[in-house]
Amino acid sequence: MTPVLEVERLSIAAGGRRVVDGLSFRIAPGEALALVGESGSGKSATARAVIGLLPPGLAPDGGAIRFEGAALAANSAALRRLRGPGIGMVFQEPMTSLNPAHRIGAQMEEGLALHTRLSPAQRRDSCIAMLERVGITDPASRLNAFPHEFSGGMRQRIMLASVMLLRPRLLIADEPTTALDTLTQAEVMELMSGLAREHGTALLLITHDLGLVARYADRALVMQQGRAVEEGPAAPLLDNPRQAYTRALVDALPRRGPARPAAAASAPLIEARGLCVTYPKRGALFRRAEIFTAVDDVSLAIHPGEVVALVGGSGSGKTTLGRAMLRLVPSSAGQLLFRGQAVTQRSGAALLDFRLACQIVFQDPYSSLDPRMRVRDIVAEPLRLPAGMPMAERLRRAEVMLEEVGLGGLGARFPHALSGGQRQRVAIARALVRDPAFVVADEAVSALDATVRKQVLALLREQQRRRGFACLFVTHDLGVVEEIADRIVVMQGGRIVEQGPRDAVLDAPAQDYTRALLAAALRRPGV
Amino acid sequence: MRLRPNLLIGGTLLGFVFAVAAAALVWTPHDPVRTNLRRRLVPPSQNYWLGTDEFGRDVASRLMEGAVTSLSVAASTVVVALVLGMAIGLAGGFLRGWTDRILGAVNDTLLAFPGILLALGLLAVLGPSRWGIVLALGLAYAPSVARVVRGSVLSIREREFVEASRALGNSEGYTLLRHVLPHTAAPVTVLATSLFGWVILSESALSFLGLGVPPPAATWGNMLASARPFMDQAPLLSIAPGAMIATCLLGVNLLGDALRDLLDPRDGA
Repeated sequence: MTPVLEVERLSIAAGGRRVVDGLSFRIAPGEALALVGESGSGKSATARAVIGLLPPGLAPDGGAIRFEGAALAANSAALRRLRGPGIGMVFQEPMTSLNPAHRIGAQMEEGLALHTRLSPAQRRDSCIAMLERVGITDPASRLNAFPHEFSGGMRQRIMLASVMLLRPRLLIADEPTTALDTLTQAEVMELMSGLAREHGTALLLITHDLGLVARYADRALVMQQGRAVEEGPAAPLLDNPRQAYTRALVDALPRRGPARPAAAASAPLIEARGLCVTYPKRGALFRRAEIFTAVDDVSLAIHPGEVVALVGGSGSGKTTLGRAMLRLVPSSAGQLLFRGQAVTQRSGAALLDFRLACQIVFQDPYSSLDPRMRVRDIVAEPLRLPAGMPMAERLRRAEVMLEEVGLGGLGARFPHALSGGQRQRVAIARALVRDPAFVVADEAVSALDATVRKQVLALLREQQRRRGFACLFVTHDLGVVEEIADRIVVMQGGRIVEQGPRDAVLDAPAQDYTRALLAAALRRPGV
Repeated sequence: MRLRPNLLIGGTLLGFVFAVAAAALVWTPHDPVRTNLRRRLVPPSQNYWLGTDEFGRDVASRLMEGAVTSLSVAASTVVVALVLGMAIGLAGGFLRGWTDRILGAVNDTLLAFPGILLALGLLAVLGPSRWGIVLALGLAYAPSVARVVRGSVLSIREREFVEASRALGNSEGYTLLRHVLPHTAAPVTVLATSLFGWVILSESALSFLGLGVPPPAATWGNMLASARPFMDQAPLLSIAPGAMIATCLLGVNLLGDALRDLLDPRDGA
């Protein structure tokens, strides 16, 4: 049988450098192949070459791409005819891949109008049917909605719907769920592989996440620096990787460590009692703003040296709770106690005492570091307070701290000259340099590649063991939690729905919501 | 660092203008304000490089003297506009709430008047004088600076490194100065350079209307204004100050673009 897609010794060059080097693979009709690799492995460039949409600066440098046996046309008119009914593509960012200025009905219809001879009424009917299939409620009226009226997950469903409307023979999905939380990710992936199966569409899935591969691909091709490292049926490849690099990727999947003995019954370090955080919703003109409750009557105690994972989907209030516990957002009711003393109303010097003992690591290392400061100044900054340490000593300690997080000698760089993982190490160094008693890690590893995530988690854990700070680890990914948490707290809709020791929650979840989170978490297959 | 053509050309043009002004501080070929009615509208010669004007004053000397006046008026005005505008913009953008609403309302009202009209009104009250012009044009242009600063502060204050600074226990003032203010440098620098150009133009326009720096002191603007009736007989009288204004503006704008690129650390390292 003719393969849908055949790529033979494909090379892609960026300037003088080859980002893809002699890559060959084929996809049979209806087959799902995953291209796996980390940032910079050339997997996205390959996907874009297949559909003829290489970004400026990248150019094919030899090799052949054949779609259903015929060489991929070089002329753009023929390529355009192929895009849509032949090859469809779903991008990573559902926020930016739908045009915010057009109603979704008009955007979905575009492809049908271009490639089919359906009447406008027929087009509308197919759009409605497809929207219904991807689980959009009340599809007929939603056709008139704009993209911003949908959540990220919904937008990705709509994107998927508009691509699948044309029943392409090949669907390319470039990190389709990386921007979504785990629950939504699972739903969108299920939907995508279901639709592909129904229509007999072959799937080329581009991902850095081996967890996805195990579930949704028939075969996998592991890429590293533009070359194929290993290829084979997905399950055996993951269970029994032959190459060292594949093994490193598999090992980077979260794995549960041994449980630590429960902390002795000590007084809590920090405790929230009936904490509420509310926001005024943006009301229309002349109308009283409604109140939105992000955190609703939450009580949570964290003991010295304990690592508590705060888990929930988007909008569960977990991030807000983390910030409220540092008094970075004001609470509207309830009490916050630190070492037994109320800090809810503190200000001035008393608040500074609390600030000095607490720290936070943010999710996005690109925006949490001041781009105008050198790395060593960023890490030295916390030592300004309490006042009194001379500048030379601050810088010396910053260098020691940078050494500790594995960034020795990089102190003179600016953040933009570091990789994402290195930046997150800087953020961790900044948080720990003052030896805080309590650290909030807000999705601290969610933005990182799997192997980098593994290393940064290991760093956090090692520092936690050494320094003994208590940690509230906020995340949507239960997989990450397994590695690091002593206790798990699950939040939904602003309330705590379940909490308990790690193993108890993971092995015997009491709530449906926890079970759903657990099912969606991408963990090491077979463990 | 790569030498950019913008930097090179802009720097050369502006350097020339400033060199002329600097030279005027110590020496001019003739006294720029001494009249000599027997030598009116003399064409260029060895003695009078650019000829003389309708009162027999040496044009080259007045051009040099004018460079000093025009540049110093423009520079002081830009400083006034920046100080006022940044104070308003920073306060509004960082404090938000009522402060921002009140400052914003005042600012928007001022913006609704054309700058030159506002300056005209103020000058009618203050009377034409060098410092009157600086104050009037400074007030007229401060709202645009405030707008730009407030806009960039609003976007920067939401970035996580500002929150990180608060989490470290840094005071609001320190956070504002250390982490917010430096990020306004790039847009403000570009704006300041354009302002410099606009002010020179506005000052010329005000002089043209008879509200500029009062004669006999020379500015490019009032030279241009007084040359108007003699365009046929002595075209150089208008061309010379016009060319200086154009050179200065072009230099300033090119340099502004180059500065913006240089101020971004992403290009440096």
